[in-house]
Amino acid sequence: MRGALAVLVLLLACGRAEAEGDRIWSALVLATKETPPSAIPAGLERFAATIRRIFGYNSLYLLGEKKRDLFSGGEEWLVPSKEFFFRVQSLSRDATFYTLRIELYRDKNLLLTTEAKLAKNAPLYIRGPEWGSGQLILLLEVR
Amino acid sequence: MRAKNFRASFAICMKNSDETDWTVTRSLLRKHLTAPRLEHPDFVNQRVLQELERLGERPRASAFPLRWLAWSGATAIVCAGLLTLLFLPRDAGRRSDKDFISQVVSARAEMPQLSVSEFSVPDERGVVIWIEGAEYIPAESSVR
Repeated sequence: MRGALAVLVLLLACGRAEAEGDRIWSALVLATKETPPSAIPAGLERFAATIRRIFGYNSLYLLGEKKRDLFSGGEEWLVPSKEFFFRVQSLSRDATFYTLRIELYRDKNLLLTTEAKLAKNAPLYIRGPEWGSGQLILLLEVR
Repeated sequence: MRAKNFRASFAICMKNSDETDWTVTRSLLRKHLTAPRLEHPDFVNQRVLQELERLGERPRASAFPLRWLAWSGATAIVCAGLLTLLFLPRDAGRRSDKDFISQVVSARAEMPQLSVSEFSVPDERGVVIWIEGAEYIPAESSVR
């Protein structure tokens, strides 16, 4: 009987961990046009084709990234770089997506406020300012 | 053919001989064999009764595994119910593709020189927010 109870507790713990295991990932990326294109950094391969198609850049550089746990009703600061960072508030959670209120800051200045429904592994691309010879792109993705 | 007939008649002969011998032996046993007298019949009787009682108690022992099986079954049903509640989505009905695509509900620029537009990434599940009017950052400035 004790063994059965132990197994039950373990299963419940695993289930809870699985249910609340979603995380939000943010990244600051520099996109440039280069000939020949530079190698895509690990972790950005999935986004390279879309960035090339939508923004027109063929080379990517990962300037910073940050990952945080997502909890319904919770609030997180995602700071992929000291210059650009996010305040993310989880408003609600559905079976397939989170409804988030996202604020994008540059230094101490609030640039953008958005409410978005982010499905798992369906990223949000934010076209930021130009930097040097390239374009800053901010990425947010629920994983 | 002759050998075959001989074998059959020999078998019949042996069978008849065995039956005759067995009849004789059985009649002799009935005549002379008697049950031995017990020296302590009460003791033997008591032991036999004890053994019968012990045998009668055995089925009770088998009740334990049955009870254990019943509890195991009930526990398994409870576990299945809990796991179903935990892992199965509450509204496990049919979902449209839209439920797996990110969407921007609203977006607004917080600085007067900025403007914002949003659109879905064609043929993908992602979404784009396009900020126009952001100040150019010289390459000498750090953004890391």
